[in-house]
Amino acid sequence: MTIDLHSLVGPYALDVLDPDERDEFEAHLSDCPTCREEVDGFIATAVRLGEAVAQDPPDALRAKILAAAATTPQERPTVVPMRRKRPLRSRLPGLVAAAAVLVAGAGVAGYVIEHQQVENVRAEQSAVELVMTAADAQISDTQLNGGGTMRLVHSASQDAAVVTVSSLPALDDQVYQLWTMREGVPQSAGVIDGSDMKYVSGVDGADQVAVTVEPSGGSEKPTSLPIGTVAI
Amino acid sequence: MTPSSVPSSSDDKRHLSSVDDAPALDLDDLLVRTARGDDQAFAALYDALGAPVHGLTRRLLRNPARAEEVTQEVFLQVWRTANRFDPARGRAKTWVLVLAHRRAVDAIRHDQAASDREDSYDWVGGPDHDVVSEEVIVNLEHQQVRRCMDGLTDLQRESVNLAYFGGYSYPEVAELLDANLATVKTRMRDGLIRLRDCMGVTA
Repeated sequence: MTIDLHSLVGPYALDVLDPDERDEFEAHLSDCPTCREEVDGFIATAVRLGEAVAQDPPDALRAKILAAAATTPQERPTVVPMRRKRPLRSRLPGLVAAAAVLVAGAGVAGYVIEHQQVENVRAEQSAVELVMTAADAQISDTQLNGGGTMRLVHSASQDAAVVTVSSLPALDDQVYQLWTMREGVPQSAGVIDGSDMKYVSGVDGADQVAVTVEPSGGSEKPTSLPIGTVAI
Repeated sequence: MTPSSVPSSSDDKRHLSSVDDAPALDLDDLLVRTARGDDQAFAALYDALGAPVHGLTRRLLRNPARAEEVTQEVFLQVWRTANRFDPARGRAKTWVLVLAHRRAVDAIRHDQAASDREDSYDWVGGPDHDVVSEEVIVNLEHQQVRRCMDGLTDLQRESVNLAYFGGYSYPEVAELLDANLATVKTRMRDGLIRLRDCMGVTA
C-alpha cells in the first residue's frame, strides 16, 4: 500500500490528484520523511515552471485587490485563554468573530461540535468573500449614537450583506442586536459584539439595517430605538 | 531581516536555488506581516508575486477575464489565510504559487462542470493538448527552464505540461496521452526528477 501511495508523488506535486486521493497521500506523507523530502523538491521544481510563465496582471487589478483586502476579514490565530469569554476589545473591525468559536469547545466531547462550527466558519468566510468582492457591492458607513461605527457592504447579486461594527461601548447585561427592516417591519439578524462582523443573507426587499441595544440574549422585536441605521 | 543575519536558519529552509535566497527571505517576512494585517506588506507581496500568480491563472484558465477573477481570489485567500503560513516549513513563494495553482485548477473543474450542464453533448475537455504543450514551450521565458524541459523525453514532457499547465486531471492526462495510469504516474515522477536535477533545485 505504501509503495502504491508513493507512486503518486509526481501527480501530487503537479496537482492532478482529486481531493480524496490528495488527502490520502498527505496522510501518507506525514508518516514518510523520505517522501516529504522528495515532494518538497518536486513542488519547488513545479514552482519554477510556474515562474517561467509569469505575466504581469492588468494595472487596475492591484487597486481592486488591495481595496477588497481592506474589507476582507483575516483568519486569526486564537490566543484567548480558555474560559475568558469576551475576546480582545480593540481589534480591527475586520475580525472574524467566529474565530472565538475555536476556543469554545474543550475536550474530546466538544470536538465534533467544534469541528462542525469550524466548517460553518469556513462556509461563512467564503460567503463573506463573495459579497465583498461582488462587482455590485455597495458600501455605506454610519456613526452610531453612543459611539462606534457601522459599515454595510451590500450585494444585490449575492442577495446578502456584510455588516461590520467597531468600537461600540461595552455593555453590562445588554447586547447589541441587528435588524433588517422592510418598510418599517424589523426582522432580527442576530446579536453582535461591540466589534463584530455579521453575514446577513436574504436581504432582498429590505430597505434598512438597524442596530439596537437589547436585554441580554436578544429580543424577538426591538425594545428600544435604533442607535443607528444604514439604508440598503 | 538581511540574509547575512540569518545564516543558520537557511538549513531548514527550502532552497529553490542559491540565487534567489535573498528575495525569498523577504517574501517570507512579507507574508508573515500580511498575517498580522499589514496592508503594505500585502501590497509588496502582490507586487512581487502578482506576475507569477497571474501567469499561472492565465495559462490555466485561458479566458483573460476569468484569469483576472481567479488571480483576485488567490490574493484574497492569501490575505485571509496568511496565518497558516509557517516560515519554518517552507517558502512564501512556494506557498502562494501552490495555492494559486490549486485555486486555478478548482476553477477549471468548476467551469467545466457548469459547461457540462449547459452543453453536455459538445464538451471536448479543453484545447488540444499539442497546442497546450507547444504554447508552453514557446512562452517559457526562462532559458534554464526551457533547456531543462527540452531534456525530458516526449512522454515525460507532455505529462508534466498537461498536468501543470493544462490543469488536466490525472486520468485525463492518461487519456490524452493514450497511456495507462501507472505509466503516467511514473513519467511525471521521472520528469520531475530530471527537471529538479537539471535546475539544481535542492529541498
